[in-house]
Amino acid sequence: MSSRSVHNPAQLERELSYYRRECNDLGARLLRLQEEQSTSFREARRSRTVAKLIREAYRLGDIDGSPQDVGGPMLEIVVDNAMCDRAGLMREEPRGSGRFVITHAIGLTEARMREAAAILNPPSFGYSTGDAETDRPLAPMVEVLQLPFVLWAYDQAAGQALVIGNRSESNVSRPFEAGDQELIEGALSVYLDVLYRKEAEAQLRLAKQAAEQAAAAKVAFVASLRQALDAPLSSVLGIAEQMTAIDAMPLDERERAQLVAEMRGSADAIRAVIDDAALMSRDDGTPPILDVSWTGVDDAIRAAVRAVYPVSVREEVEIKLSLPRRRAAICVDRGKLHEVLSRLMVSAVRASLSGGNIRVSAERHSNGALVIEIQAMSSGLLPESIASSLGLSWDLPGAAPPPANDDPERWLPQARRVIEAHGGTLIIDMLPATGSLAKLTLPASITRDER
Amino acid sequence: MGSAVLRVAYARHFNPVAAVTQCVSALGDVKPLMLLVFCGGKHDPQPVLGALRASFGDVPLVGGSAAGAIWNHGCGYSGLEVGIAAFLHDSVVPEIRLTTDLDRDEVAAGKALGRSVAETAAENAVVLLFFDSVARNPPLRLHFASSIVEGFQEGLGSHPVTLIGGGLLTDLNLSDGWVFDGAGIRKHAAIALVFPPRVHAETVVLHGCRPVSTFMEITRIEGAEVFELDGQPALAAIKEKLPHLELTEENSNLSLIATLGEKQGDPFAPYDENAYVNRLILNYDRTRGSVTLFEPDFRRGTRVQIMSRDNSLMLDSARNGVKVINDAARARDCLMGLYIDCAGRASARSGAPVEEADLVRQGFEPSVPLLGFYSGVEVAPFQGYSRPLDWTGVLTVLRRRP
Repeated sequence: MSSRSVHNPAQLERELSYYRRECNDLGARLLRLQEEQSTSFREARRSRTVAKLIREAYRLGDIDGSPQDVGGPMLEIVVDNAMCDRAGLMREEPRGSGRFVITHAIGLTEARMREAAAILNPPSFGYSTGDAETDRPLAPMVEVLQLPFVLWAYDQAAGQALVIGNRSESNVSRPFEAGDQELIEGALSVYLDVLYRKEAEAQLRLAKQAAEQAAAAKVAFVASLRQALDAPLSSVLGIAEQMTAIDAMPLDERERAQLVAEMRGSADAIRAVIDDAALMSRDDGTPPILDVSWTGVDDAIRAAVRAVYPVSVREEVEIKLSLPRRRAAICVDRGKLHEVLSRLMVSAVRASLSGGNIRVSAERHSNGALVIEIQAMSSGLLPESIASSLGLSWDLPGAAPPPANDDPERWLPQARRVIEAHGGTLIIDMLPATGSLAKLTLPASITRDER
Repeated sequence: MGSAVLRVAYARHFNPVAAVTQCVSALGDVKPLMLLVFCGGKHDPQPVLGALRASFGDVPLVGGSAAGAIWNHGCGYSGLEVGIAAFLHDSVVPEIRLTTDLDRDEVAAGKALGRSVAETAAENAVVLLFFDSVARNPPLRLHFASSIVEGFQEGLGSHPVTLIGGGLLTDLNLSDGWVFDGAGIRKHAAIALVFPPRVHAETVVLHGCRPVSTFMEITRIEGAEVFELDGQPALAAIKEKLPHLELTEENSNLSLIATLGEKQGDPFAPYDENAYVNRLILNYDRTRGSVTLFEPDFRRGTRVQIMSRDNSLMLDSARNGVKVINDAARARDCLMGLYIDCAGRASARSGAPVEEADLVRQGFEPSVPLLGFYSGVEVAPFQGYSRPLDWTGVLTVLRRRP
């Protein structure tokens, strides 16, 4: 700076103005750079969110707990990563109905969670923007979370949905956009995978438990058999020794008759033990071991109807069949379920009057469970009738038929245990006026829409 | 973790009762005399209160909602965190003073609280102040920290105390806030924890803003709404300095972009981050040509600069501040660290490449229990006088004199 300019106020003013301008300009550029850098980091963070969310969610498969225990931690991961205000997992009950219940939620009151939502024709993906017109299809989801901005994904085959929401579009909560489909569908997909895995684990645990109980029962059975046989066998051996002893006194008629009677008594006792053992081996009271796989409901029921068809023709009883409109699948032991259904149908046929009919129906309950009903329309499914229908073997098809003296009332408890081992129930209702009803319910956790 | 005098715990769980249960388990077999609790804003506070009562009986429970929580081993702002400090010895248990009149008049409520504190506080006693930052939303109306603190100082009169505190939020979006007042849950409340004279505090304020403009004078202001800078509409003056700024309906919130800073002391002294009091620009009004600040404590004639939030500066400030405070934290008489961290500094909002709170907790002396929360505003001693600060981290170490 020249000495002349130092003393020239106008020049100084001009220089000051220049530096101020440059300062502000550089400052503005710096701020812009800072803002761009922040924006880039925020965008990068969002991109990482999907990967991080999916990675964390898959770890849920490793934690202990039932399928129902997965929902809460899943939402925690979703909320933490998506930085949303509220989130909910919903299940369509029954599938295809458009009626959704909230199974898990973060940010909703207990009262709100108890309310079901009607969402007709739910889209597989959607988001709201705050515009009433374009958001109309998502209005029910907005109502569920009671927030204006929602992001939604729905898996029709599983009947499950995930919805997250924000109060505002600004600040941390940027507006939802089409690119968020990856995030919301990815989260739902991982949740369903973990859910199925947990359900399979539960089935395996059940099977393992059943196997352990069966092994323990076998040991106890052998021990009790040995104990029960010990006394009569000792008696027989004692008599034999007595009769064959070298120094034995000759027996008179009365003594011989007494020993023979004792031997017969012991033999009868042994025979009774063997009969009991045979009976017990057919039903040891433990849950059956299941070999489960997914099978169509239609296929399972039609197979049982086919098996019972010759009996129904012979008895002149018609079988009326009603199956779900929407095809469903169940994760069951096909052989054992076939046995149960066949027995129930044969019972119903035999309990019906000639010329009558039985009705076999299946439908999905509102909570996702499958309900199979076998109704004898012409008379009651009385215990006597059930007993008269027990000519079939409990064993899987192809096994040897049961002995003729098999206790006819034993198969019903066995059938119950098979259904209970699947997590379901079997209820027999006697309806003297109209007939009888066997109601078999399989839980939602092993029921799904057929893919 | 902690000592026989004070322990801290932290948990995150979607179920509030489970989160409390984890904290209770982490605290161990203790009988606290008071609990300082920061509860993630997505949790319903009632179950949290119930679970704490079930575990610890009628122990006084202070603190409130938090956008997130911080401790030695982690931090988070999902709103599902719970952080607890348990005071176990009566030599460190503070007295509770409360006002519930913030909704009526923040200055008057602050004054009543200050007067109440003056009656019980020893000279230079440490006072922790917590209040719910959000009066209502929508439309957003804040409980201004500057009004509360102004009234508080007035109520104190000449009684000197070391005032440290923060505004409580439920999330990073300023949705709501509430207070644990010792007995229950309150709105529109400020609680002051007055520590015994043996407890004293050392504090560093972590900054992160850099001036990007020349000085401008506020020529018209009403409350927190600045109408004019250098005699022209404030919005136009800012736009003139920042021509790239696009003012659209979508970005009516400028708080992610810039703040206004008042430099204390010699305005032409070299840059020192500790010389600035920054005020976030909450939003702008195009029709009025004004901008609204986070606090209403700037006056006509205040000279301000536009400040850029500089993430690298923020992270450097965190690293340096922790180094400074660790000298105090390593002392044998150290009770705990308390970190009141502006929610805007969280990576999700600031866009920082790493969590600034992670730098603080990882650098902090590991043997000392640390508890923190994400706040709406911070209050700390600043150039000899406690005042509200924006976009800062207030890191305090509480010590107990022998």
